[in-house]
Amino acid sequence: MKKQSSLDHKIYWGFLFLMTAALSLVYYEGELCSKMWWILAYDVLLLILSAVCIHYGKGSVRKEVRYLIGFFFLFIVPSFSAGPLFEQVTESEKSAMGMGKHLLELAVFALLMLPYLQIAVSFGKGLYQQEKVSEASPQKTVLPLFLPLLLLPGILFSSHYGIWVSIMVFCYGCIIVYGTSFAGESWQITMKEMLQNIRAKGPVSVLLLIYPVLFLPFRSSYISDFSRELTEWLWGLF
Amino acid sequence: MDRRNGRNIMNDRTTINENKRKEVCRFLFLLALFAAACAFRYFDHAINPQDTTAFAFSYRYGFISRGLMGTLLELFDGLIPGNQMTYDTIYLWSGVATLFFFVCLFVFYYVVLMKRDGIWQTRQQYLVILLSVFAFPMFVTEENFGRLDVYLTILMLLCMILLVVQKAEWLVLPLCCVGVLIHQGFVFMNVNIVLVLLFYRLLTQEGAKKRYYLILFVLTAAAVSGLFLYFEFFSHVNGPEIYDEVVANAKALAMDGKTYSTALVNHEILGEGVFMDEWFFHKINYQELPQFLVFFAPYIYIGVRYGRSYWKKAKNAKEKWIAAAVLLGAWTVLPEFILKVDYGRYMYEIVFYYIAMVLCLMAMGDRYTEETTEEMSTAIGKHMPAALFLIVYPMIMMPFLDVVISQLNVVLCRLFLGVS
Repeated sequence: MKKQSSLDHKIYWGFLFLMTAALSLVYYEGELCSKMWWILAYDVLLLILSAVCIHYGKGSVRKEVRYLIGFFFLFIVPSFSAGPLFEQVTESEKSAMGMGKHLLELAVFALLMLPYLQIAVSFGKGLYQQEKVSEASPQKTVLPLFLPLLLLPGILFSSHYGIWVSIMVFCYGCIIVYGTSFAGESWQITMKEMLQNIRAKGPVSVLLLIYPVLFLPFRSSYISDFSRELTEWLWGLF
Repeated sequence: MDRRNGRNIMNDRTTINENKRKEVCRFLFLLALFAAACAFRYFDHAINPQDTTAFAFSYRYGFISRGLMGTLLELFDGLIPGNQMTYDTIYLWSGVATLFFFVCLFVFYYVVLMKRDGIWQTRQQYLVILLSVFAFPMFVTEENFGRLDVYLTILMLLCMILLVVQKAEWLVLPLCCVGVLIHQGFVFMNVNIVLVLLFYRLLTQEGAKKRYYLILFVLTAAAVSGLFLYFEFFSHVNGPEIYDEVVANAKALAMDGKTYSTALVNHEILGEGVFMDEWFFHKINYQELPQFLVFFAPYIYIGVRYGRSYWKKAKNAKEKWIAAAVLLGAWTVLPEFILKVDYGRYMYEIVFYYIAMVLCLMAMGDRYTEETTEEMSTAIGKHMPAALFLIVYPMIMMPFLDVVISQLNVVLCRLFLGVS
């Protein structure tokens, strides 16, 4: 049994390394230069944080944490590798998009992310109810889920929409993975229930894993190529 | 009383079938949304000059290779007022063909899913999603949008559907001939799956049905081989006389009115070998293939294990023949790997072959495919803690392109080999 578990462990890490390398390389758009070292450092940091959560977190949710890490890596590795943080948004880019288009893109992006938003809301609701049942302080437990929303003004009033969105996703990734690994029991119960509900949907749940790849990577001035394409199309239509 | 019971059983079956149909349709509807998102995400709104050039070949110049689509375009031009021999018409045709490809793919999915129930249907659904990851973005990128491959894939899918549902299977013969008339590559890349399914039917049936499949198999193999040999070696006799006119037509069909594929015209019209002309691309291929294989290693490992297990299950000579055909069928594409440069297309065909073949054999009730799939899914579930990511992982390599296999290779070649 122990041998089997250690085999799983090795395969998981092998897979995560391979996936991180592939994601970083596929989405890397710069030339071979010092930026590569930044990306490497970022990836190593992410892997270390993941290792901490998997090894020192609660053993009962290890499987769930592995899935969550894999899922959030899909979002956060490419977005950094594509290098939007290194990009300078030119004046022409700013004027090309304009506030109206930016807001439309934000709405389009929210619409595209609807399946995940719905899951996130039901997770928050489940967590709140779980805490209420155990007569703890539900507000305190659910509060971290609202913290990344403090970035919303940044998204609305900056010209770097994509960067702010990727930071927000990064924050949510950290909070959810960390919360599931280390926070109170209600987090673990809610997360298990949520993943069970998703798994119960059968093969359709795989689409939830594949779908984010279409958005990636997050960009600098606009959010993603996909949402911009749709925004331009809608803008032209109306 | 008996009659009433019989009626009740019939009603129950109808309800079960109706429920199954609804479930399959719901799954396909969600998949269709994903297909639409993929198409929107990867669509480049352009056709390569390589692909517009193919429409300049026509049977007006004799029975030449790849002349069917150009001839159809000329017929269309004759029927519709105004000049239809333009880039815009080809663009429109390509759009319609790509849409039809999606329709055929979904009909194929529907057919194979409706053949099975319960856990087998669930396993098929996973395979359908995996196949979709490769298939959805394939024909919408600039490299492959409007390429003749989309027509070949449509024909292949139609043949597969007919063979799975066992209706009007004789149509396989004309459909395959049309495929070779469109592009000789059909023989290497697409007809394999059709012939292997025919071969499977031939060896698993008895009596009159067996004779029927034998005749169909022999005729299809002979027809496509004959047409291929003719186009490769005997269709270039008028080449030098028609060369200038074909080039002028190809230029007129290009987006900018002047760019066309010299290599394609030289090969198809003059019959010249283009290996040395394409040496630059061959070099890219030789550099990118090992990189790609490393990143694709998990699937190669699973594929090899699956193949080994499937082969071991075959007990007698007949079963060994079936297993050999199923496992080796995809490698008819090998000559293309040696002589041509579009490794992205060939890789796609190999992946498509194996996943679609498993889906077809499961739908046709092949016991060994079921057993092997069950063993593999148990093994993967046991050894792979996040098995679902095996379906996600190829998505990041998508879309497969033409000379370059995937975006992954573009970056790796640029980084480590200095190829720009």
